[in-house]
Amino acid sequence: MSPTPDRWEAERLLRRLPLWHAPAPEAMWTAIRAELDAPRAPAGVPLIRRTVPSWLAAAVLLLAVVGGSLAGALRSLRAPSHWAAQALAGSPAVDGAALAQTGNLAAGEWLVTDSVSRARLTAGRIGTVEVGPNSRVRLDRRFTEHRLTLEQGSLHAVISAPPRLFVVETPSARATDLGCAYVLDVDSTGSSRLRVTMGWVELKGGGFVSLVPAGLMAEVEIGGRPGTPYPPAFPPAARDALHRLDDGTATQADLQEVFDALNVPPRAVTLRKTAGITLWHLLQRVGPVPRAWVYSRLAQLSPPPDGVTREGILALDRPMLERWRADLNPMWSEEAQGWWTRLGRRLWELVIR
Amino acid sequence: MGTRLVAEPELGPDILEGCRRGDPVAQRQVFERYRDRVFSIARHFLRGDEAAAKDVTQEVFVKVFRAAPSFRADARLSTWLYRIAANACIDELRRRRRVVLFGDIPPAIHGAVATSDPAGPGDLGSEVSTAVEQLSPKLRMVVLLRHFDDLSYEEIARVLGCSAGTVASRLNRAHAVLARALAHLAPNRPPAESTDVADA
Repeated sequence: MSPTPDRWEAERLLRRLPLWHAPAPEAMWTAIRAELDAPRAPAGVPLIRRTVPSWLAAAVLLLAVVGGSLAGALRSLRAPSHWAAQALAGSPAVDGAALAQTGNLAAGEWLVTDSVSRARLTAGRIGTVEVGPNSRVRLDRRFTEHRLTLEQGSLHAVISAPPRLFVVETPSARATDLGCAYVLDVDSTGSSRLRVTMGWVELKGGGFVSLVPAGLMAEVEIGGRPGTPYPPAFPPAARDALHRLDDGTATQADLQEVFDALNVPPRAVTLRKTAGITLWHLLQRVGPVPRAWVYSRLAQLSPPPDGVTREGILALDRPMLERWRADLNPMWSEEAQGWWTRLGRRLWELVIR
Repeated sequence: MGTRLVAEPELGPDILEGCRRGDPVAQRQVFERYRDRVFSIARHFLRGDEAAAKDVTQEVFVKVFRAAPSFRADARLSTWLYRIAANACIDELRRRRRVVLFGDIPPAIHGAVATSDPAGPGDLGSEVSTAVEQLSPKLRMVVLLRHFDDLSYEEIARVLGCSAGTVASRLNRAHAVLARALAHLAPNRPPAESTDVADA
């Protein structure tokens, strides 16, 4: 099809575009090398988006609708009265009886491992939980949730269910899955330590909440509130300073200690945004004067998105805080998706719930 | 600024093999070859947001180098790289839209192409650039790939994962929109094909 004269003119004007090729900053190479050399975060996004033909999308939609009609029958899958249990090492016990190679953990029963035992729990399509040595885990049945109690020891959860369907209670906190994989440890005092390797986990205790994304960890003691999430590589001095900031006993030097520990290369985008989550929590845990310093530091790491103002953040405006948090590191449920993806996930939630 | 990037031959198989092995020297050569193109596309696609364009460019090369071992030898590196760049730009736009509930993304907050070009605001280049930035994302990406980087319809189709007919259709629509937006710049008659646009 030959262009009409006016369109031809538009094409002619567009030929000017190559004249405005802008040179990419030379410093970018250093930043790329730094990011390539840095420890790699778990990959969650395909490198190449596969385009779905419209006929395939229609077929998937039809299947999804038909599948949705079966949702009622599949609802029996939700919150089963028992989980499959498998011994991985040693001699785990279920309710006092040695676990054979495979078995079940029923609601209300305890799975106990000694110093050389490990076990795996599997709940249908929800995911798997590996229970480490010296652990005590109980299955608690809830109407809409899959809930475990970790009294002591450790577990590694890999969850594929929609957010908030899988919960682990510990003596000091409640870890709610927001679409993720994580390791949760409980020591002999009941203190919990959470390290997230994929997605997000909400850590709640003492009426307070920490949101921990992949690449960060957080701790909470019995009766305390969840600490500010921090990178595992944080130096001990910075961890101590962060604890004092959480406790409200910090000095300006403590804040500087944390700032120094978060001194990531300016062009290391992923690291920068992960570090930003630490500062995002601190914004809400320090007084008005240090909050302004934290704001400045966070804005340096990752400028606030449109619609988020300094005044709003310093006033702890909740929508603005959430907007900035989503800009730093969006959650699974916040990812922009095609309508067929959203529909499919909605049906999946119906099935699970 | 202001350098026209002419089409260059594909990098040699030794460079690609070096990238697969993670050789920094080979990676640097790929970066040098494509960095300005990727950055420019991102900068225009993101409406002049230079900081976001830098982030996107960096993200693209990190992804390319990390995934290089899985790159198929029968594919063109440039097509693959442009595809990752296009996806990264679109992802960035979607990420912004999560927080901008109404309307499209706002004009650049870290500096705008239209006002930072040497000719200054109001000149022909700025007006064309601004008009391109007002196109919908799908049309904008096709225009940038076609007119920034001289990709053929078939190459653009491979980059975007659609048919060449779709590319042609989108370009046609984009030109129609641009023709309306730039009507006041058009002379009374079409100039000859050989006219240097810099003199227009």
